Amino acid sequence: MLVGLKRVFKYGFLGFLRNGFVSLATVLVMTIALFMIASSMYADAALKSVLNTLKSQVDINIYFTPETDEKDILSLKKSLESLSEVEEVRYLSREEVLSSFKERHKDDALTLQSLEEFGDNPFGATVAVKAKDPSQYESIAEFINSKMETLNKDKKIIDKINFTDSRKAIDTLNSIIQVSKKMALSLIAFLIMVAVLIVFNTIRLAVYTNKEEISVMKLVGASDWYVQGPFVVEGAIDGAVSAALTLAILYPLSVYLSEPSRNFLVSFDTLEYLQSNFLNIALVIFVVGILLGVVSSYLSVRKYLDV
Amino acid sequence: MILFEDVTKFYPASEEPALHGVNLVIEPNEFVSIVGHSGAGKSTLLKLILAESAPDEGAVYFESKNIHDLPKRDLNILRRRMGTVFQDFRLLSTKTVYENIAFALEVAGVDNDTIESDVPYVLDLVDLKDKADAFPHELSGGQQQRVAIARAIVNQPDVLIADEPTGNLDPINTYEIVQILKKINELGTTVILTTHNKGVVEHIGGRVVTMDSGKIIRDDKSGKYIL
Repeated sequence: MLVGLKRVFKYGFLGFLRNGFVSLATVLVMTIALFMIASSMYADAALKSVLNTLKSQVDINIYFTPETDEKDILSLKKSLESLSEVEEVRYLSREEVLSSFKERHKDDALTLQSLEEFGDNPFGATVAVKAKDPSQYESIAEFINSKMETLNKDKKIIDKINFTDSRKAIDTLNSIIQVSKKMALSLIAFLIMVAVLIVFNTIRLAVYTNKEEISVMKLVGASDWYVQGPFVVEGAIDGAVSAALTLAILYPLSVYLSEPSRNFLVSFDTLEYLQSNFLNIALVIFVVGILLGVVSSYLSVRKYLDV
Repeated sequence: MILFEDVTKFYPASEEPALHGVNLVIEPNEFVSIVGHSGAGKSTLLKLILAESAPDEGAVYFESKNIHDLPKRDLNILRRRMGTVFQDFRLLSTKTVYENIAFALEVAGVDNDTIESDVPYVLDLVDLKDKADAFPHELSGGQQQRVAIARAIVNQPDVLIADEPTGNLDPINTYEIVQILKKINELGTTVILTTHNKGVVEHIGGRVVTMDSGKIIRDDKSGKYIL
């Protein structure tokens, strides 16, 4: 058995080397397929990071009247923070709002001058609320609205809430996120299916050219696994070489696309993604490549074993 | 040792049977030549012995075992007791001459030491010692057929089955192959040969089975080629 296994591996390696041209063609096709799979991993990561950035830019702003007691604001902040849907609550005091307004308009003399006219700080404090998921803004807004009713009973504390303004934007973003997730998933599934079929077909053709030889081996008295073994080993080698080649292409490409991707997608950098996920990507590419080669060879040879 | 019992075989494409109620006994150490026109059923007869195809009626026995009832494992073992030579050589094109011959031993699980001593021995027997590292496509037809014979006999089979082994060869190569087959038979191996070649049959001078339209029409102990 051990001797047999050794011979199977030996002939698998020899087969890979001696069928040089067929091996080359198979490796190239497999590399393209594995590259497609790697690309879809990149695309998935890029989409996620862009959507996360968009999500993090959405929030609800509560504007308080300048007369509001800071104590009331902080107690509202506290109750908001206790909600499970809330990711973060940021409080900007009147002074902070004023200085950020000044900062934003520092080149605009007219505006600054009219601000002087007020004498006092005309701004109220603000609280910005970020939800864990964009779909949760609706319920958070409801909570704030009910709070507002009780808080505003004696005197007006909350000046306005901007949720209704950005509500449309939030809804649109929500549906964009859902649709693009679905589209990306089905596109990736489709690409992977095409890649698998192309590889399977290529290996099937390579095995087909050995159809006669398989029947001769059987007539000489070889057992099924002894005939299949070298082809399966060859398939595994095809897969491993293709995986190595794919990674070798992926690295310089990620370096090359690093800057454009950062410019275009802001939050996603191809090189950074490769560096921080290298083990993951390498593992997926190698496992998929070898598995694809092994299973395709196994199934392809099995067809001709019935002699 | 090989027994055909009322064997009939149909091929899907034709209404006439390829073999029609064939009864045949082949004894150990015999040299049997099977002759007949193309389509007479010679190759089908050999395919049934190798279990390349199965009979529709009747049975084929090797010793006491019905070949077509054997489980896969036992069939593989039985095939290792039969050497086969074909008209089109059927060597493994990606393996060298040496590896082609060694393959027949490897599939039987023979250890490396035995392979290293047996393969050169048969290479010498078929006079191809200097071609051990050549690939089949680098050899002439006669040389390829001698490799095929070496592969067929290397594990000392009980039977050598040769399906028109000289069909693609010139007269000189044909003569050489026949000499080798005779030598193998003299060393104790049963040889079953199909051929079109009158000269070959008369040179061998052994038992001749003549077939026509799927039937055995003549069976002479030391026959001549008569059609």
